[in-house]
This record gives sequence, C-alpha cells and structure tokens, in this order.
Amino acid sequence: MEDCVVSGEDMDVKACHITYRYGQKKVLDDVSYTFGGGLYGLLGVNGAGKTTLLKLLATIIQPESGSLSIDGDEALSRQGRKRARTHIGYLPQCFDLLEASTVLHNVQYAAWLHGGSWRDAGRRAYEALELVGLRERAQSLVKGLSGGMRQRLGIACAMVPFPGVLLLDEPSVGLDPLQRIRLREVLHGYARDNTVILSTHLVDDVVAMADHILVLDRGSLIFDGDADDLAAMGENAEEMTTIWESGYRRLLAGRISEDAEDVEMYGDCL
Amino acid sequence: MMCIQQRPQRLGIGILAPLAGPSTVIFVLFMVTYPLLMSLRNYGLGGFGPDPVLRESALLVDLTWMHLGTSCIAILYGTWLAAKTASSRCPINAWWSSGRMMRRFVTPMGKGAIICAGTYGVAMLPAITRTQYATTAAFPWGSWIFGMTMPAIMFVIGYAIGVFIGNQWALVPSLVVALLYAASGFFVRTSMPASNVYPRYWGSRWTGVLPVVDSGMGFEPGLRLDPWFVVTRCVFLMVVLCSCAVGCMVFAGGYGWKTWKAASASVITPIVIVGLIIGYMGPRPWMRSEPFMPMCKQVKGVALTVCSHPDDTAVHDKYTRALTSFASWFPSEWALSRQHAITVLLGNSFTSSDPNRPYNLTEAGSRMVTAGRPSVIQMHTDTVSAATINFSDIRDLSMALIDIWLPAECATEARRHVFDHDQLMNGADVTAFILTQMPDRMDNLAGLGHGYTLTGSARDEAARILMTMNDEQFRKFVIDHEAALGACQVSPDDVIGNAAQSDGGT
Repeated sequence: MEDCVVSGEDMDVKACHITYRYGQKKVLDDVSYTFGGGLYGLLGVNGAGKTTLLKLLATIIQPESGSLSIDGDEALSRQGRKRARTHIGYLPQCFDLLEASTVLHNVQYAAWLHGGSWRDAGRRAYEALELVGLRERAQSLVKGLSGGMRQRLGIACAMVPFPGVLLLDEPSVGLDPLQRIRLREVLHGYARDNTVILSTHLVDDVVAMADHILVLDRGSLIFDGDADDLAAMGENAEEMTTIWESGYRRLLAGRISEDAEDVEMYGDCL
Repeated sequence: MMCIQQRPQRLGIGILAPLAGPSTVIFVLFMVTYPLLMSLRNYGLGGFGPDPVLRESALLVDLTWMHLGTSCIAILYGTWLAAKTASSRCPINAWWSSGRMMRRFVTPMGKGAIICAGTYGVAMLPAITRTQYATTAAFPWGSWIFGMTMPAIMFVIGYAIGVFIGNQWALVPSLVVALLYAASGFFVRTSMPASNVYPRYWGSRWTGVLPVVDSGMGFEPGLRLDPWFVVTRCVFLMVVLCSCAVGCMVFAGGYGWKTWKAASASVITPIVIVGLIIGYMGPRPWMRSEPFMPMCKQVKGVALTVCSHPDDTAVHDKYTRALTSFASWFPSEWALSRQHAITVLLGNSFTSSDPNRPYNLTEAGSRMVTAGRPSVIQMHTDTVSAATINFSDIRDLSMALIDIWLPAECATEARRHVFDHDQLMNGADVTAFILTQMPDRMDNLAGLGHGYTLTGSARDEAARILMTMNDEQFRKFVIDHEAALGACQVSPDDVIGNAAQSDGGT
C-alpha cells in the first residue's frame, strides 16, 4: 500500500516523577520516562495504570506531583495544556461516535474543527479513512458498523488532525486478526514520523509492532526495552503475571513474527 | 500522496454541521407546535369559531411571549446537541480535544441559535399575516425580533449545560433550568395603576431578560414596543452567547469537571450582572400612544358616535356595525336627540397619561369627543380601570344603550325580581321581562350573539308569547310599543291581544 501519511513532527513527551492517586489508592508511583519518536507499547494487567498514564499524557487528568512536557514545553499549566493538546490525538478505550451520521461526516467534522474549509476537511477525512481501511464505507451510517469498524473509525477521528503524538487506549479491542495486522501497519507507518503510544494487554500486538515496550505493574514502570529484551526477561517468570507468561511462551515458540505471511489463530491471538 | 477520489459532499451537511439533520428536524417540529397552536386559537387561523377581533397591539404583545414553549424545547435541543457532539466520550469534540475554539463552541451555538430563533419567527408568520390582512398594521419587526431572541438565548444556555456535563443526563438540569426560567417571569409583577391615569411608558424592565413577565397592563390600541427595548434584548442575547462560549472554552481548557466552578462563573457572572442592570435600569418595554386625533363616525340616524384610535380600524368597523344594529331598536325621539347623545370610546388608548387631561387626545380631539356633552362610554381593552370597569364587550354596550334610551324607571323594582316570579302581573313586570331579554336579542340580530337569550322566570301565557317570538318579531314589538314600555303601560293582556292580532292578520 502506498504511504500517504502526512509527515508530522518527531515529538518528545517527557514525564518526570509522575504520581497519581484515585482517592487513597496510588495508581501511578513516581513514573518517569521520555517518549521520543516511534511506537511505544504500554503493557500491563488491568489496574496497572496504563489508562491513567495515557490520560495524564493526554492532559486529561492532572498528576498529584511531577511534571510533563511535550516537545520541550511544559504541559500542566493552562497555556501549556492548550499548546500540548494541539499536538495530541487521544482515543479512549470506550468512546462514542455520532451515530446518526456517516463515517465520513464523523471524521470530516473532527478535521474541520482543526481548521480549513469543509471541503478541505473532507479531503483530510478521506486520507484518514484510507489509512484505517474504511474509505469504502465512507457513506455508511455509524450505527450500522461492526465493532472493529467502529474502532478503526475512532482511530481515524483521533488521527485526522495528524497530531505529533497519538495516544491509543486498547486500540486492538474488537478487531479480528487481519484487522489487527492492518492496524499494526498503519500505526507503524504513522510512528515513523510521529510518536505513537498505545496501551494493551495483548502481548502479541505489542511485540509485533512496538519499537519500545514499557511494562507497568501496580503503578510502577518495571520494564523498558524492546521485544528481545522482553523475551530475555521471561527467564525470571515469577516477576510476571500469568498473562505475561503466556505471551512469553508464544514468543519463545517463534509463532509471532512481524513479517509473518502465514497466520494461525489461537483463540483471539496469532 | 495517493490520489483519492472523493465523492461530492452534500452541501447541506456542511452548512448544518455539527447540527445533526434528523434531530434538528424533530426539534424544529416540536418548537413550532406551541406558537402555531396559539396562533390558531388567538387569531382564528383555520376558521375555528367566530372571527376574533384582531388588533395590531395584541399581536405586538403576543409576539413577545408566545415563544415560551419554543424556548423550553430550544434549551433541550441545545443540550441534546452538545451532549452528542461535545460528549466527553466522543473523541471528535470532547472537552479534552484540541481544535479551534470558535468552531468547537461558537459555531454550533450560533447556528443553533439562528435555527431556534428562525423557527419561532416562521411559526408566528401566519398570525402576523392574518393580523395584517384584517387590520392596517405594519409588519411588527420589533416585537418579532424581540420574541425570537429568547429561543436563541435558551438554546445557547442549553448547549453550555450539555458541554459541561458531557452526556445525555444533562437533559435533566437543562429541563429544570427551562422550567425555572420560564416560571421566574410570573413572579415579577408590576402593579396596575390605581387611577384612570396610565403612565406613558410602562411594563416591567425585567421583560428584557426574563421570558414572561406580568406587564401590569395589557395591550391597547396604539401601543408600541420601544425600539431601544428590542436593542436591549439583542444585547442581552450577545452577552449570553459570549459568556456561554467563554464558559465552554474555560471548561475545555481545564480538567473537565474539576473546572466547573470557573466555567460556571464565566457563564453566570456576566449574565447576572447584565441582567440586573437591565432589570433595574433598562428601558420600559411599552409606549402608549401619544395624544391623538380619534377616528369618529356617527351612526346614521341616531345621536350615537363611535370613536377609536386610528390604528383600530377593524375594531371600529365591527363596533359601528353592531351599534348601527342596536340603534335600529330605538327609533324614538330620544335616540335622535342630542340631549341623549352617546359617544363610545373604544379602548384604553383613550385613557389619559396626564392627570390634567380627561382623555389621551389632542385638544381638537377632546373637543370633538365632548361636543354636545354626550354620555361618554369608554370600553376597556385588556386592562380595567375605574372608568372602564363596566364596559368590556358589546353586550355591555347594548345594556348601556337600553339604560340611556329606554330607562323605564317605573320597572326598576320589577327588574330586581324578574327571576323570582312565575307570572307577569302588570305592565312593570312586562317591561322588566322585555328589558331582560333585550341585550341578548340585540346581540343576536347584530350577528354577535351566543345563541341563547336570558329571560326572566315567568312562564305564563304572556311570558311564553314573548319568549317564543323570534328576534325580528321581538324587535318589532319593542319598536311598536317603545313609549308604552318606557312608561310600564304594556300589560300582559296587551301582549296576548297583540299576539292574537298578529295571528289573525297572518
């Protein structure tokens, strides 16, 4: 597929000593990391703090302590937030769309909000739909879409301003294996010139597409590396949960490859 | 870059965006319903019932308040729209999204406000057209624009509520706000003038910011809405639009619900401040007619003159026709005599605004009305004063004419007991029985009756004869025996004998 990704900026997202609580419970504990260009996968079991970290990076919630900067500018003050949000596209795990409108209208509206005429927004919308493989469904009503298509449409809406930082919370949910492969291609392509941070509990996806893998466990960053580093870490199985052990085994079995042409199904994993 | 073939966009979607087409249509239909139904009822649209007497001033007043139902739905529409397009769960325009603030908030607010205002404006066009057709009224631009502003205001407020709450639960507080706001105006009352002198400028200043306010006085011929009052309301609309837009921007720039205090203050503070300024210091809405030269016409053949404000030609014509019919019941020398001349003044526009003048007329007009020292009867329109309390409709006039031109003082006592006796005993009873029926029969012959005739309680043969006469026969009887009736000299036997003669003659 010919690339048509609009070149963006290689954005640094720097989180320093981020701490966050929900009531008395500490959800993120002194997390520090700098996200440069590329695709980052956030791994962790439910409750590890992935969504909270993404929300913090998206400036949706305010950390209890710590600092956040995007492209060198601090992002926690009012002006900082305003600046930062122009560089961020965020798709939450659960989201709504304009059900009574068409696929195109949803994305076109999202594009129009960022400037340009309605026609220009339509052009950008088509580009985004092409990226996520929904161009043929442009005139379909949203309420008639499958779960996977809705997911891709959500990604298109988040992506259509072509932000420098794209934050996706569980983007693979609801996608079938072929769609997940396509999604990996899209995000990989987008991450060449931008920063993409996605959270998931599916080890296969992260290993297949992420340049960098971060593992969160009970609010702390316990791992930072790539797929090979992750495989090496599997030798100390007691440091990982049951889910991680499963992914680790498949990784060792060599059944997961970024360039795999033959795909076998194992439940909802490849 | 791949060449992507685009399908042409439907232009309507672009113009309306982000307002959803189907939802907009449904809300518009609901918004149109209330003013259209009120127009049907108040302006005789569709021909239901007798034609109402249309006054330009009544339309001016109605335009300023018949938006009430429309406004309540407009706020729900705004909330519904915002809860969908600016939902906190929608990645397109959630509060945490980026994008141009004007496009995110001001554009949908502006478009929705225009739609809501336009819906009310269009819904009132049938009533306006009907009034213009029936009167000489000019297009009521001021009142029309004034009425349209409130649905726009309510839409904008509803949209802001929807942005703040971010889901469809926002409809609940939105509905509460709508009902409270609509009800608030009913608690602001202006005291009615106690005397027969009305202020030149009246009405509550709070009408500029509240949807419905008791004005203290109703419509009257020659009434006008102060243009500066319309300007004031338009300014208030802009204040609401700007403060709601700023509130949404403050909300979107913060951390969502945690920013609600600042966002709410951004919305509420300017609205309250400007609202208070307008409520306490703004212009009064209504301007009464300046002293005018009335339009007077004498009913042919009798000393009966009907006067109205120059704007009130439709009402003048109606009353002239009715009084011409009434006058045909009194072809006696009394009705022709200037000694018993009557001048009827139609409406509150004649009520003076100057304690030193008896009427709101120019010098020449006053001389014209009082020339020959007639008995002056002033009808009231909508608002009652001490001078007009007894004269609200045409039936009151028919009774007044009877009292002046056929006083029959000899029957005064009998008239007090007309519902007590089951038999007509003497001429006074006969006169009282006839005078009790006359107003309704006069109205019936003038084409203004309700289809029933009030009679006394007597049911003997003479009473039965009088009751079974049709209106024409009854009038002929009164005309033929007017002098005798006035002296209570028509006995029950005379009634029976007259009936026998008539039967024998036919």
